[in-house]
Amino acid sequence: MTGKRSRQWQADLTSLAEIRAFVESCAKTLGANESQTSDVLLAVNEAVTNSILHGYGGAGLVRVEVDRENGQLCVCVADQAPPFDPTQHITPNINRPLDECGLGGMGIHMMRALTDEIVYHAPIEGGNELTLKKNLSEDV
Amino acid sequence: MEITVSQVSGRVPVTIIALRGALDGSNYEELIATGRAAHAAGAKAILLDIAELTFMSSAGLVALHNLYAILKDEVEPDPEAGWATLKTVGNAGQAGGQPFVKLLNPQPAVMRTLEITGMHNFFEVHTDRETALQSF
Repeated sequence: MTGKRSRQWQADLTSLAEIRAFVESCAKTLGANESQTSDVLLAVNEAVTNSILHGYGGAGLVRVEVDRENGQLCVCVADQAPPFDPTQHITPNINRPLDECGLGGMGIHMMRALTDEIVYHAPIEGGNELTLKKNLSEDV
Repeated sequence: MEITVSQVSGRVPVTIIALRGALDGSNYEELIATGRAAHAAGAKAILLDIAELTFMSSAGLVALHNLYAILKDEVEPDPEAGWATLKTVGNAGQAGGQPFVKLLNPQPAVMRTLEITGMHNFFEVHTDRETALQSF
């Protein structure tokens, strides 16, 4: 299967388990192994959590799309929250005193560490689209 | 997530908190509340049995750090402050742990969370229950 799969949830922390189950099912169908699936689940969880807590701070919707493109598992987390580009956030150095790390930096650090590429897009109609990409094959 | 609390009275009394399921932003405050209640009941050392914990996000790390702060009698950091809540650790990548909260049998996915954030250096990880209990 290579077709894109997409679902939408209320932006609520109680949706996290369902979102992980959805992404896990898609990732395995699209050929991700256990380790790759585990990394992507954690990265997506952090992205969705950031959207819920720091993006909306209230009610809204989060859409998650999963696809395989050019040997990569691609998971897009989209919301209608105020624009925020995490790729512009400075990566906290975990070997430096934590006082120097900013708020929310932990989730972004984890997303970077667990994936091979992160792409941010701000749609003209508003909101955010953050795509987390994980290499699945050696031909990438 | 299921939480089970038990106590072992050895050389040092240890409260064992066993977690089953997934620890994330939806339930990490339950773990903090459990630690707070254990401390109020006299707990001085906590062994987190996470053999059946299948997933832990950054929110779980915040909970772990809060348990540490509770037992160390520090002012609890704001659990919603993200990375900043770990400030009092001083340095997440620092070698050597602390004697208050230790971990037993993390699954690979949970160990991954600990390793990529450097927290495995702060929370001592054990694979044998008796050795873990004796380490306090």
